[in-house]
Amino acid sequence: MNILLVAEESAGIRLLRALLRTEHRIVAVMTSTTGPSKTSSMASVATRAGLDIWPPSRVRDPALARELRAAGVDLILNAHSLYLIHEEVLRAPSIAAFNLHPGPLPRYSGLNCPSWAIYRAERTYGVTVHRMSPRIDAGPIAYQTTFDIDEAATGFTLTAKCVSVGVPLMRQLVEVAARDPAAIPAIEQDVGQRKYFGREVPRNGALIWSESASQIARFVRAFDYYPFASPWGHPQALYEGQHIGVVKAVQTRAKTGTPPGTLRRGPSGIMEVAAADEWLALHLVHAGGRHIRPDQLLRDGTRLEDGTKT
Amino acid sequence: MARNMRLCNRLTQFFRDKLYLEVPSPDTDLIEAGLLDSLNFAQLMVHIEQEFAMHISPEDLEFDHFRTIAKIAAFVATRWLGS
Repeated sequence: MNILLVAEESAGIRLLRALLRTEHRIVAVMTSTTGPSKTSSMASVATRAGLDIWPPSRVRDPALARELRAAGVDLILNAHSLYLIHEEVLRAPSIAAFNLHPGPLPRYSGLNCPSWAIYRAERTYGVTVHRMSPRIDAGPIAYQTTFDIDEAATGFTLTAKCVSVGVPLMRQLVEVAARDPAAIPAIEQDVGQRKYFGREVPRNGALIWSESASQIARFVRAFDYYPFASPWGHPQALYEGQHIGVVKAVQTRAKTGTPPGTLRRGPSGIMEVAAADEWLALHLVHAGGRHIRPDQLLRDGTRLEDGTKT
Repeated sequence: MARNMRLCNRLTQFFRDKLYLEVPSPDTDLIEAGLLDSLNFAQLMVHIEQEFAMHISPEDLEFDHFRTIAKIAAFVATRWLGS
């Protein structure tokens, strides 16, 4: 088969590696080549594999469809790319276009779904491979796997889990497509259950210290992609009039009746902040454009104020 | 020197056995070579902490420390073995 890969990030790299181990031909890889990367980029892996790299923005151009037909593309595989593919382009492959979505469709469609799932205190989650349609994440489902969410899961670790579970689903799709395209499942999504998440950030990232420690810790974990950039930024609080981000916060189970937001140096020497019900250990904050240990900034007996929601 | 070489061998083995990636040499730039994506990086951090019973603090998380197997070995030797 001839495959066009439209992909970014680790999901794309792992999918590309899996495809390189098959007999199928990768016509091109559509991925970003700009911007500094702390880790290996999709483009660097594709280049080393000797593959053509096309600008991902071209998926919006209906003229691409003719090129794909001329190249005999059978499958478009999309993973973690944020460009909307033009309807004409979606119709170009002889079999279909499929997307690896890091969420259980139809309940989690759109952007940053792993973070939303943690924020919404979900216990289980999933990953979906679906046919692409002009409407985002709305096409029939080919494959889906669900799994439990770890209690300590962060936005990053849940995204990583989706990649490790999702890439084998894409591999399965390719195997079935090569054998018998008609055997690829196509389960229509229940639109009544559809929930779409856009670019919004819950409460604009504002921390509220009068919440329970478990709620605050979960809020922080939803934003946590450390040491990589979080798509939601850092959850925010105010300290002596300055905005600070809380990057890592963990429940201590130590009860408190102290006014929420009060800071103390805890028994283990780690800075702690009072939530409504217990002390919360602060392991890492972000201030002045860098990550720092809380005890380098916060003082015993002072207070963190709620973040601002606007 | 011999100790760093042993660490290099252990780290190369981790890349081969756990990440299924062959690192050509201890001086290969892992990022340029496409061998260290964000998920591999996270797995590497967990592996170092568990294998060498050490804590990697936020101040240690300079990506340059982890660009090659030789640099990772030197980082581990400094933090773990104090040399």
